[in-house]
Amino acid sequence: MFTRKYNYWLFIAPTLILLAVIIVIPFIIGIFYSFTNSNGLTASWIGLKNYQLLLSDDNFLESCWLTILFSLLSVVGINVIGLGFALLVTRSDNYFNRLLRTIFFVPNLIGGILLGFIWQFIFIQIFQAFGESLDWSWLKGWLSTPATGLWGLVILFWWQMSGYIMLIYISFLNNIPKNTIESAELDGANNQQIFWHIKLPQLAPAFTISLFLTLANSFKIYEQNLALTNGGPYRSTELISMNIYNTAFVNYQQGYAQAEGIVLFIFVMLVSFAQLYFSRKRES
Amino acid sequence: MRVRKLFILFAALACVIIFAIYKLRQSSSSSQSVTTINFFNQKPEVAAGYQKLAKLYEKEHPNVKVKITTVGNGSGASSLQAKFVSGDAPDVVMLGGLPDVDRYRKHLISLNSMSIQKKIVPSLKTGAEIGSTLYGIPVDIEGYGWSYNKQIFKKAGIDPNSIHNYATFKKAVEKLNSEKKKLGLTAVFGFNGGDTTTIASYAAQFLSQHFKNNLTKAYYSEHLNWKYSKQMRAYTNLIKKYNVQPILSVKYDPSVQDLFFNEKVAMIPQGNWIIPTLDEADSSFVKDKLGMLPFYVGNNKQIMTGSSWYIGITDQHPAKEKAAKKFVTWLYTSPESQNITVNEMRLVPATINYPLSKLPDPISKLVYVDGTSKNAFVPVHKEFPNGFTQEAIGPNMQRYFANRITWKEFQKLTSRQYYQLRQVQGGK
Repeated sequence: MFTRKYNYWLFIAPTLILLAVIIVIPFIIGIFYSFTNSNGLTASWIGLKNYQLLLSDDNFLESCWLTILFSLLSVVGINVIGLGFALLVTRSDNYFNRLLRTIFFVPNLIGGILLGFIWQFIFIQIFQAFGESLDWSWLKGWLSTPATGLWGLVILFWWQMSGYIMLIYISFLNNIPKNTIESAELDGANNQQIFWHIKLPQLAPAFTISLFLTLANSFKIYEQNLALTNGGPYRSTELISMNIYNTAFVNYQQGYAQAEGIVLFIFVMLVSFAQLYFSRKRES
Repeated sequence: MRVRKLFILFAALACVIIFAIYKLRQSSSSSQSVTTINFFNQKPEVAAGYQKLAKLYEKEHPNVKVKITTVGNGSGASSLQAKFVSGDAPDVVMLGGLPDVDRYRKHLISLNSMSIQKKIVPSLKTGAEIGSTLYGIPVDIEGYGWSYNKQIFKKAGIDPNSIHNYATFKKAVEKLNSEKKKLGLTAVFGFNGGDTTTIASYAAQFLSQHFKNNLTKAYYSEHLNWKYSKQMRAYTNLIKKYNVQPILSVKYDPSVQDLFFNEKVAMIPQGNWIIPTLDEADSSFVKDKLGMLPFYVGNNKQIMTGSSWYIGITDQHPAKEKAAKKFVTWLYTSPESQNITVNEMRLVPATINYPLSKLPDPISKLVYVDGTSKNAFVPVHKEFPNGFTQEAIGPNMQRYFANRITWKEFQKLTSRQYYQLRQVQGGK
């Protein structure tokens, strides 16, 4: 018994040590620094002042609201598109559908910075060119207004994440017992009825995972934001991660940025737990 | 079969380990007599040039190794801080302006005793001077103004020499605009309103006069000086009216490589740092087409000249200080090094008495002449508080471009944020 216990700890020790050194200890140090006025080089204790200032910091609150809006748009969009893709490619297993799967997934393999630059080119140059030749004014001047900036980010994120979420839905769709669908067909259900009453209820666990992944990812988004808009125009697309980074490394107000980070952490934690709780509840 | 495979695997692994140990021992045994100077570079566009210089220096000084780390484009500041905090800062560092110098002042050594400091262009010295201690040497001279296309001006029948104040400048712009179709222009200006750094250097054309080249004073100042606000407003409105639209979609790279290079615009608000990019695309462009016009503010008739980066030496490895000083002196004084900096990196030297004939193009000559003249005039945007460019003046100007705020609001908002940031960050 003793050796078994001993072996157990021996095997997980490397991971535990790494986790402690890379995540747990810095996290605790981070909490400490959120109570200081650290500028990165020197720090002194100022208690809760950072948190008090945060509540009246318009820029920070604006970033928070923007991030919430962005997350809502992304989570809904990505899951709808991802599920749509999954349904499309699971209709029948042939060469064309397998090719489509690959095509849908490829955007996920490209790094966020590159994606940002690619879409910047599309939004600014290509949209503009189409807008001019077709005389559609809504295609002109993308990323130069707050609304098009936000939608630009949302579209980019849809494009990047949908393929990944599609994979999750595919695996769950393939696991739906064929006989349930067949019996529904025998009972005279049409495609729509099969989707809403047979497939969707059995996809509940997939929703839990996908919602969690998209939600957590959209709150943490940074590189795409940096490369596509860099917060512009006039800081109207500065999502919360970017706000924190800029506070820390452009303004050098690192204690303050740390406090922002802690607030983000608590918020994401609460939202994720709430989402998991409700999804799980519906699953069962 | 399996045993054989395993054996091969182990043999391969053993080879790698033995080779690694051998290499490690080799480098540690040789490092006893060799001094390694770590150089932290924040200008990625000239990284290749610095690599070349390092190799050249190593060749001339066999017992010195120069290791160059380049981090730029926004992440330079954070990675430099990480190096200082970890207690293993590079020996030679590139710093941007007084906020950086002041931040790391405790770790920097005074360069007052170096002979090279007497050769620095006088107007640039205060960019790294606190008290009467010099902490950095300017990397180069940069000229700020309007880069314009000489051929387009010629086609439009505009003589650049006839432009000598705001009124004549405006007239030229209006003429260019009226002949836009004939000249094949999208618009007169290609101002990249999407970039806050350009907005900051543009704004500095109107906010620097008060400090009279005393950058230390600018750094300690708690308020912006709006004496030339009227002129700034006039210029800004002119840009707003005759720029490629929407102005906030215009970014730096496309503005240089597409709009300006492909002759879709006549002028962009950039200085001599665009030369390497233009050269890469077509080496005759700079020679035949590139010209530079100043901003006419107050009595000023020449382009502003400054340096965005300063090279400092840290006190992290006292044993290497001497070698680092020697290397920096070599960078600025040896003919081989100057040849590379001037002709390959296309930097305008920040030292006095450089023979004008050795500078490769007319714009570099113009920048050098103006920068070393008695009337040299230095912009203060590098002395703005940290974050002021990205979070205050940049976005505020963009709001003005997008008609979200009036000029009065722009001025009020920017002043207030400047004061606040100065308070938070000290600068006492």
